[in-house]
Amino acid sequence: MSSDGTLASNPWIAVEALDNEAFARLRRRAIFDCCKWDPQVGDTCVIARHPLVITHAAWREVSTLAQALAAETLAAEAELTRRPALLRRLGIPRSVRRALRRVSSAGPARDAARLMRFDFHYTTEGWRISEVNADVPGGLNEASGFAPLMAPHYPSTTGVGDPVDAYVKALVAAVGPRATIGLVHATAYCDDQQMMTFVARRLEAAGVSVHLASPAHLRWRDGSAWLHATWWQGPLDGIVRFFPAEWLTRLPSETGWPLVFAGSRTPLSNPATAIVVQTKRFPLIWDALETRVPTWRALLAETRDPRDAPWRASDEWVVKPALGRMGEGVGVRSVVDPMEMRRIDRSVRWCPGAWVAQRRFHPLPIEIDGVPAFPCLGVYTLDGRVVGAYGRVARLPLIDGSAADAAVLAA
Amino acid sequence: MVHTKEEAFAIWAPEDARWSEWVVPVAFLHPAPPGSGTAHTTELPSIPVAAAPAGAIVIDLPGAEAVTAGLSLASHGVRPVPLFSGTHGPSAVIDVVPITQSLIEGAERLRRCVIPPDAPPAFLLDSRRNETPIVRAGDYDNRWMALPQDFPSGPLLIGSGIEVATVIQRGSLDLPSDLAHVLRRWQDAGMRIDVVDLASGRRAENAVVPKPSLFKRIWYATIALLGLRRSNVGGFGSPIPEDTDNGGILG
Repeated sequence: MSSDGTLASNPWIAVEALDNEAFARLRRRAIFDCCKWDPQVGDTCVIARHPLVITHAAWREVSTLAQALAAETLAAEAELTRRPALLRRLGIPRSVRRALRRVSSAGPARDAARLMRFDFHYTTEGWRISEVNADVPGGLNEASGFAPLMAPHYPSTTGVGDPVDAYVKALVAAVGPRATIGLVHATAYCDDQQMMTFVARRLEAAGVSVHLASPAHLRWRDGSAWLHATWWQGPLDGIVRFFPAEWLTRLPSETGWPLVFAGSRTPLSNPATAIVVQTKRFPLIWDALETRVPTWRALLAETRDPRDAPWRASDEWVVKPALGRMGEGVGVRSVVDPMEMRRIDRSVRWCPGAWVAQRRFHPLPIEIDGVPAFPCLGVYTLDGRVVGAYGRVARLPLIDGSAADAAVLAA
Repeated sequence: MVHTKEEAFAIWAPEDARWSEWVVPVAFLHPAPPGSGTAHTTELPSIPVAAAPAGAIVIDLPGAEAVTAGLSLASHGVRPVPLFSGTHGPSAVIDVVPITQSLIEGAERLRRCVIPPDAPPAFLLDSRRNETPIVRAGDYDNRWMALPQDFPSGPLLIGSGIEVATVIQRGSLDLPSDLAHVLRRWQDAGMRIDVVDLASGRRAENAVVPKPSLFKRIWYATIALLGLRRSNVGGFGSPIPEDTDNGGILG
């Protein structure tokens, strides 16, 4: 270890940020070419002025780890759907557990183009992951769109992959050309629609017909999905789901939402069984699995039920909601506002089975123009193969909705 | 002169203007057949700018009328900041196309206004955003809510010399619940909140914004949208209330 505490194999290469003029142009292109419709969150611009530049060696290393994680995750998911007795410990709602129990009778939902994103952090102990986004991994428009915008300003770098390009190819391979795909999402949120629109454009360019719709528009006939919308009704050859699995249970019964968990004959990306590995309580059942998860054990910080961890008395533990996303509700005592921490405390007391305690890791910052920043590298796997990355950078060691999206380049 | 969508956005969000970063881009990207916007009309609504102390303005009016109101304020040196976050889809519950048309068609008028770079902001909202209690099954439900993260914070506004916010709406002095989440934060930071009802001409000065339900709860946006409609929950980012075996609610 060097005298400043960083490891000799620090994966990041510090670069200078873009100047104001170049950044203004990039921001405009991000909006109009990459569907980045939420560039400002509160007082914070959430487009990074610099890329995350990783060494080629580190990218190869993290790619190998991500592919191992993906294989373990898919195997564990398959086992968990066959063993419903373990679901109760996962902190997923009762209605979801009921839906998952149908796998044994209806069979698993047909899947296609399984997309996941593993969030890596480089720490004092090397690479660690904070979570997998196995259910509805976001950030695709930024991951595919930002690198081509940034790369010309950093000529010694290369991209690490275009995840949407790979995703579209996999979807087309699954459903065939001239197919009709429903991109199902929460239609109220423009930050959800932006990603769907970006993917839709690429699918249309590949000859696929697309419909951006709500899951409330789904109907089923003999296990096959139909779109039942005012503007169009007809069979779907595939569904891209960007709607969290645990939200499906809030839909009316006529939407047939249980088939997204089990029994769908229409290929789903992703089937809702992904929730069993999406939950942050997934590590709590590892010892009960026949599937071995050595990469998970090596990379994920120690995880316990909050009733079994001293998180209230120790800064070395954080608490997280089992189904939290985007860093919301994460209780990091030295980072989170005290009033918010008290709210989290009450929530954990009231419903500990919906939370998890995790030993803190200590991410190493990089310096950009003299200012420390904490990077997070989200590595996408598609059917087990790495296809690209989504970078985020935060001023604090907590990646939440105010973290800036960063292009990922390698050098 | 007719501008492209990108040109119109650049006019509404010039790089040297203090509040341009908050202009929400999505409204500029919807389909916009020419000729149906209202911003090109010469008759603009009378906005009581002279009666408003220097400060931020929040225009909460229906659809394109909010755009024309913003243009009216622009002629008085106020920077209009469109915050229209509604998505677009076929058979949409909220017709957002007139907003897009008005933004594009109004861009030339705005371009001719002289607005200092540090001019105070007038945030533009569509008051129809979460109305329409009856939604036909099969429609594209694009109702939305204003959220605190759509706006600058109270401390930032105060640091910019803005200590008053005037809400301009029609039909009531009562504040919509989603906007109350924003304004209560501003009030807690030390800003004064005034409310003007264009319909009656009434005005509430230094209004007390009551603490709304779920104020500052981390899952506010999610839970509020659940209340908005049952069949199309909006967005994600948090767990949603759900019964569990452990009692209470999940999340």
